[in-house]
Amino acid sequence: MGIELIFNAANLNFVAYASTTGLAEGLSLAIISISIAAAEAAIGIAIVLLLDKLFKTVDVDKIKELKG
Amino acid sequence: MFVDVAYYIIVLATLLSVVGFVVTKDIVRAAGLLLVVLACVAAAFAFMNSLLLAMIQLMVYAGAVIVIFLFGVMLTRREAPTSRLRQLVSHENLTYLVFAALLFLLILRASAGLTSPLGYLYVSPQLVATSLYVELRGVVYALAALIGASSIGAIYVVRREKKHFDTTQGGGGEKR
Amino acid sequence: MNTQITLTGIIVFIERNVYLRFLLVAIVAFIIVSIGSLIELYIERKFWARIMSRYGPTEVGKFGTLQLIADAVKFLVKEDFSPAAADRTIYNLVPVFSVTVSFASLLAIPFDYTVASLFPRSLHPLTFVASNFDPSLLVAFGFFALEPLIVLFGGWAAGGKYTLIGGFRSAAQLISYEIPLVLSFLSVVVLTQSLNLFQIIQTQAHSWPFAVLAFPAFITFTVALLAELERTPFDLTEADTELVSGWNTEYGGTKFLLVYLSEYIRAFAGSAILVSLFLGGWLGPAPIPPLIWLFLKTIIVFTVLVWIRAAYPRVRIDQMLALGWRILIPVSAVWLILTPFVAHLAMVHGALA
Repeated sequence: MGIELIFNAANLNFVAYASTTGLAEGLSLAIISISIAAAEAAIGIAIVLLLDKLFKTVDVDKIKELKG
Repeated sequence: MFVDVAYYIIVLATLLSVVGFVVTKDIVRAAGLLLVVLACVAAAFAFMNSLLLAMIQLMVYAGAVIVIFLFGVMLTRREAPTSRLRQLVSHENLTYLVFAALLFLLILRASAGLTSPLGYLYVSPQLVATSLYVELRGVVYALAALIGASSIGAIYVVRREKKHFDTTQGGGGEKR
Repeated sequence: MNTQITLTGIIVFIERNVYLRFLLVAIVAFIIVSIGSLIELYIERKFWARIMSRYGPTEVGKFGTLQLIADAVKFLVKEDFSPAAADRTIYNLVPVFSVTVSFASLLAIPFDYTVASLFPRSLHPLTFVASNFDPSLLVAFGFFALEPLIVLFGGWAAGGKYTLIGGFRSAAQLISYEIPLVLSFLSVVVLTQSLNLFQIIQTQAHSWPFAVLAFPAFITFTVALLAELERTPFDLTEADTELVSGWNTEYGGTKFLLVYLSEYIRAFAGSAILVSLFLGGWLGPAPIPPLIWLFLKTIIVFTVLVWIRAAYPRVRIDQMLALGWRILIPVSAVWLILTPFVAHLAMVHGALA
């Protein structure tokens, strides 16, 4: 979830550049960044749900082995 | 002038929500505070004269990514409400608050010399479409190819596994 | 003479001040939506009842018109409780958030174009218009699309496992049908090359209505709208005769009133978006003012939705998901790809501006 904060900080920068210089590249890069962040969140939930199914817990301190 | 005051209020709300998000012990409340952060960032986008991006942020981030997080949080088993890291962190709430306040003061000081903290140039959606699909079309093609390949791969994987379990469509498979 | 000068002064003052204009838009939208929702609720109960060969409410007021007010008062005077296992903050915030989001999507629908025609002196029609901004279609749809969050938080906040499961089912249905909704209205955006709902209606003034030019998009938009508003045949998550109430079971009194109201405000907003996109918004022959046209078309669309509710049985969850992902998304995507060709043909033959 903290990754979303970082993505948002970068997007704020992109949009600020777009609004001060009037070029559209800032907004385009922000749109691409948003879409990639959404795809990454989907992968994250897939991993979390698989972890829950395999190890019966999502506590990362307890998942110590590489074998699934 | 009122616009600037409103913008600073949004910035303050963002910082306070971020502090709350980092500090809170309950994970669903953390997701709720992340939602507030995303909404405040969308408002900041609106103040920077691009409602297009504010709405895209709301639809994609606040409407879909938070839903994904909530599904992940609510569908998994969690033993204790906090992990050890969070217990350590929660004793230092004041540090986060002070840091956020300092950041806010820095923002205020940095924008003291400007006439307005916001740039007011407007970029129309047509311009964004031009820059996205004409100049950055390589990135769009690459993303489309990736998404297409992963969708076809997902459909193939699901179809391959479908032979191993029965699909209970309408009460029983066809192999009865 | 004196009142005319004062009126002109007020109008000029409003025209010059952007914030006052937005405030006026908000007030107009609020009034229209309240009246529209009340009329919708009344039609829902009476029309549905008549299709089922029974009378609707007939006791309170002539022909049962005041029944809604009686129901609202009944909800308002009930006890304000919260379940013991509930998360108080989120539980209390969800109904408020729900109504806010439903009202916010109405700011972008151009009701305010018609306000100028209500004034005695003929004003410039764009005097009070504040909804002529560029991504207004996205604004109207974006707040509409925040609903899955509300059902998830609402289902979780009550603290029981059945409301949580109900919340998941609702959220799954809502996010599944957002995609055909977006792809359908993208066909209209390609036809008009503008995300401005005002511009889309004005393009329909000189061309065939988009319900004809983008007919598959119209059909998929209607079906997806039915699923987004959680109306039958897609109301498996509330299922008033089977489950108790889905995700909003544990909400009572005023909170339930707000949730119920937000459902009908969303229905009004969804019908208004459908009318603006496909049926021509406030366009219509002269003797009826544009405001009444927009209102009338929205109410007619909603009546058709009530009719569908009375006529069709409920689908199962796997049928609903199969319809969304396997049928509606390919159909709307294929139509989106075909739309530029249709647009070219239509422009050549003069059916599009």
